[in-house]
Amino acid sequence: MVDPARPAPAGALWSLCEVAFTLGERAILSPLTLDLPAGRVYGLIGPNGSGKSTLLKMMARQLAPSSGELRFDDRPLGAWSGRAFAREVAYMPQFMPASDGMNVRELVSLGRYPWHGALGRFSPEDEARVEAAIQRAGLAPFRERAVDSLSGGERQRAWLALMLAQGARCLLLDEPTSALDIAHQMEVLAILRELGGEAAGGPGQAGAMTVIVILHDINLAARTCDALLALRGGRLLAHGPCDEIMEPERLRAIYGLDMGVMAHPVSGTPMSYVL
Amino acid sequence: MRSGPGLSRRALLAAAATLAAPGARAQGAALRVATIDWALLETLLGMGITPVAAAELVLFRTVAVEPPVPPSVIDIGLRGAPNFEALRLARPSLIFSSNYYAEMEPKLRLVAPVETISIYRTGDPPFARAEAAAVRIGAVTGREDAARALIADVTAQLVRDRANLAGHAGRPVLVLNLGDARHFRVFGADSLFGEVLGRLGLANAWGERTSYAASAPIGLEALARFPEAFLIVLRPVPPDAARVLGQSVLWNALPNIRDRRLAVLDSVDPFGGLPAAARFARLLSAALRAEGDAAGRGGDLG
Amino acid sequence: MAELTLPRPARRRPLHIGLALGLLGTLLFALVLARQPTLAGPDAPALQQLLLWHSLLPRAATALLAGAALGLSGALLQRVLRNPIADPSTLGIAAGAQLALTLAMAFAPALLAFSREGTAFAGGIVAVALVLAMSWRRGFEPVTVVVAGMTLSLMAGAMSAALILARGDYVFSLFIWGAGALHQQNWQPALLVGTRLALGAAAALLLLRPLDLMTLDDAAARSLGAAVQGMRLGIIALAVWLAASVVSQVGVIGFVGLAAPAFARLGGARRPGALLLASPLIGALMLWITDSLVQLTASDGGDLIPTGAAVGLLGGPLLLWLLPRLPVSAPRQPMATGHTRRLRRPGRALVLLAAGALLMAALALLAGRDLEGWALATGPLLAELAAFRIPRIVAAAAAGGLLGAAGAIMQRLTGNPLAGPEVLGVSAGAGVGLAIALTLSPAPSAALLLAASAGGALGALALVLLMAAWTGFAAERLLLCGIALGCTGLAILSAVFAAGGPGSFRLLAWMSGSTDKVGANEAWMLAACALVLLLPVAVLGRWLDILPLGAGVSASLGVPVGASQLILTLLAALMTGVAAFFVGPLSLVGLIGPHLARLSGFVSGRAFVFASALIGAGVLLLADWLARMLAFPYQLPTGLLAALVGGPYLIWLLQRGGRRHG
Repeated sequence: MVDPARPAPAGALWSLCEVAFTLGERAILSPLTLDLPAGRVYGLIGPNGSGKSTLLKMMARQLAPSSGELRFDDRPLGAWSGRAFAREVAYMPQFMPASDGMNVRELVSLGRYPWHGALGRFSPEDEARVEAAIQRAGLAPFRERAVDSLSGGERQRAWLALMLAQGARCLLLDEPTSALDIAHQMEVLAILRELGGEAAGGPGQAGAMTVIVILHDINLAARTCDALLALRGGRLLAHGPCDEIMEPERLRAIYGLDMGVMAHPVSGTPMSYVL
Repeated sequence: MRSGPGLSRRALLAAAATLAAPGARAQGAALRVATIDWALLETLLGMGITPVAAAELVLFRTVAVEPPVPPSVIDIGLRGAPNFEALRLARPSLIFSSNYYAEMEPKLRLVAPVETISIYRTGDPPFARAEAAAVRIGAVTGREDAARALIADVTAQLVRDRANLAGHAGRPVLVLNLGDARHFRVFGADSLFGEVLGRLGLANAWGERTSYAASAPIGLEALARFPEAFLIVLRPVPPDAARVLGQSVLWNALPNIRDRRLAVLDSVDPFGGLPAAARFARLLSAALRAEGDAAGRGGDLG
Repeated sequence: MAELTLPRPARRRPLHIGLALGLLGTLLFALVLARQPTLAGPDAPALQQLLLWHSLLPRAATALLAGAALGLSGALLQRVLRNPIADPSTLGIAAGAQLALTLAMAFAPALLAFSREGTAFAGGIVAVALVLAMSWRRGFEPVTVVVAGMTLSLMAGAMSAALILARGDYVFSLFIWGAGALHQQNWQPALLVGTRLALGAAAALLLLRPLDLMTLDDAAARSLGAAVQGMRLGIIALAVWLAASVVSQVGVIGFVGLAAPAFARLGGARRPGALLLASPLIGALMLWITDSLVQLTASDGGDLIPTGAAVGLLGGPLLLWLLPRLPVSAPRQPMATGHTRRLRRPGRALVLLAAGALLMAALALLAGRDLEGWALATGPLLAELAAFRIPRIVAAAAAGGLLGAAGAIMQRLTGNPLAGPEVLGVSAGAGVGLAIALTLSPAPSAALLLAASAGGALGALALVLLMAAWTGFAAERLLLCGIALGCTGLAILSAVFAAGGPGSFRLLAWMSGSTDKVGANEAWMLAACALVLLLPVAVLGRWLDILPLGAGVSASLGVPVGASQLILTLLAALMTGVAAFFVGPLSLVGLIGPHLARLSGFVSGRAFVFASALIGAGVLLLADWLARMLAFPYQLPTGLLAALVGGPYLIWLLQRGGRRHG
């Protein structure tokens, strides 16, 4: 764990200092201090009501913390302008809103808003980025299809493409796989896995792509992520590489269940099971 | 809302035949005037001037009844929304309007010069203004004689009626409209009817101020405060109200109803001009003089 | 879903509150009795007795029974629709019943003599059926149901106004009745409402169990063996019957049905049984107390304000108070419209639409009736008539365009397909402004009226924005703020109508909506306003694409959510306010335009708004032309005609979507 008094180490993309969120009397998230270096895929895990979504929403500036301070790139979140922040951080809420007749290209183009704003021209650069994002998400054949007519997995990828078009270097995703079957889950998570650590594009941007994702399935999280953050009851119980977290005692502390861990027969990544 | 009967082809031809020099304030037989306001329509007709066009004649014939509107008069639609195109095609050389229609004056001016004469204004007794309206109409149409004649006729009739009602002098009378079986509105001293009562030597039982016409709906039970008054109910009486009141204990127990001090008068335009005043006086005096005859009809409002 | 989350007031001893209210009511009634004028004359003692037994007591009884019937009706509706803001007023039942009675009065008086109650019931049932048909596709979601109900109420009000204007006779009784006066001269209304209440209460008692199940959603209730749809229809019919019997006897009394259950819940009633018992009691006391206050403030010349309107004034503030307690339906219902038709070249389609609107304008300019029949105006005749036709055409096109655009913006902003500009409360504000001007000045000029209505509209707008900002600008909140304001505005208008006087007629003419008073200057001014207000849309198109995706997505894309919503609401409200002065508070153009635009496949925000504006302009041009032609030389109200032509089509459109996706 990190000493709160210590300044954030150079290179930490996110640094949280005593961040807490309370609703009336109830503490949703107890004061949390944490540094997250760039270039990794982080998995937020924990049982229902553990404060995962709250934490993610505060990072996405969808919620303001009750106390404490969040810094991104060594600047307090409040100091970022809306569009400047959106050029750095992209957020996908848990529920995809209906997109009312828009096709995939149009939806993904919305991701360029942080760059051109309300009045700016939609430049060839924007065009190219949208196209690249569509390709990246494997949606080229669906470019002109209405988003509402796509299957769940395709629709999820369309929203992922929107985030990619945003050109951000940090992606925040709230249970991107919750409504998908296993094949589509793998598709989406594979893209996230590839993205982590890649050079984040965009003019004037350096550093590697960071992904923070809430996942319910601990095994999928272990497969996809570089590090896991485990929450329970609004407290950070554990934080570290997957194999450190994937231990029976840790898992029991997180989920309150007796669990075992074994190695994946092929890839060797740790897998948990309920005893 | 069908077009009025004044629109027959023949009527149009007749109107076209009397077409005279437009633009000027024509005089005499070829006078082409139009009017939006009903009180002015009455006054014009009462002076023997037949306008080429007037508003909402279908309803005028049932509400104001008198004077009869010749079929040659072109109906230009609702008073609140006259058809300017129809008005234009009627080719009046002068349009009479009142303060109620101040808002549409600019558009009326596109058709012909507008003469605004207002009878009903807050704080001004309407009878004198109705006389003044006739005088003014006479002045602008060059028919001062007709105006004088109308005023003299109406004054004479009121004097006659007053004499006929000598036996009723000072008698309290309440003039009202039934809204439904539970509400009425009353015409106070500052209304046209109120003034006619005064000129006939009768007393208006309603002491309270009204805003020159009729006040807000009043619960029927308020009638109990005027046990002495002779009740004048103006048509139209809602059929529902007539039916319900016939069976009402309270209504039938009112001293006025019990003693048959009640008369139902045919419709008179409460916002009318001199002809309306004369019509009201005539109907009223007839009703009061027939008081005895009405015995047995009781609270019958039919 | 529909349960209110109130801050645990349950321990407040509801019984004590009830007793206190009862005591207050008794006290006020005693005051009313004490303040009766003493009569003179030999019959005075007998008359006093008669007044007590045949006027004062039946009036109190009617107030109590009507209040109870409305309270029960509201409680049933709220339960069965799982909608805490449902009541006979918000569902359009009262307005529908009133319109039915007005129609009967004008065209079939025999029907009224036969059964007033039946007529009112038919109107109420038709209204509620239409409201439910319109909100079917959104799963009877509370706000949508109320938006549909308000739209329908406005439409019914405009129709009544037009009828009154056209018929002239019996106007007086309609005014009284629209404002709900409780004067009595016999026991008949009390007895009638009382028996209906008793029957309704018995039926509600029998339905207690099924009502319990209705708290669950349909699927769950059905799996427990309840015949959900049949039960629901039966209960709705019962509630409508109760409300209709009140409307047929004493007129429109707003919002008791909304308030009573809300207060009952606040007092701690939770189970359907407790709610169904407490709501009628509270409703009865509410109406009784209000009516006593009305009697105490009455002068000899009549009530200051009719009871129905007085209670109606409570409606707006009450809705506002309930606002923060309303559950916001979390995931927005997918709005998939089924038709994924899209235009390849929206630009070309816009040009076609513009050409169509121009063609319509040309038709309106050239074709028409004169005193002898149909004629194509050319040459000198055209020159003569152009002075009258051009301002109307310009005004209709501009107002239609503004309303269409405002509707499109509102739909995008709220994500609700029923959110027309009419529910923004701005038009009602304009009406109140007009009413004030007409009350204060006996002969107002056109300029004064324009200024007054603009002032009213801006005042209402400021209020809506203030309240919306205060409640956090959620789309549903915005709609409800507008509705709440609209309710208060309409209550004020009905009180003004009840006072009678010549101003009422001008107000009625405005209610029914007409372009005929527009002069050349005003028309061009309106056209200029239209241009000025429509131009920003070209620039703000991107917000209109992103905002419908919700605040979360919008914020994460860097859109300034609060500011953009404020600017767009302001724009839509200004558009509505300007147009409302000319075509009245309701034309449905703001709903028809956007729906047709969507149906034609305009997707991007900018093209959608402009297409809606062009379609709106075309529709209103057509309606205005028809209004001039159908009953020549009598003119029909343009706004009403647009509503009558477009309304059924709109309902069909909405309902068709329902069948496919319901």
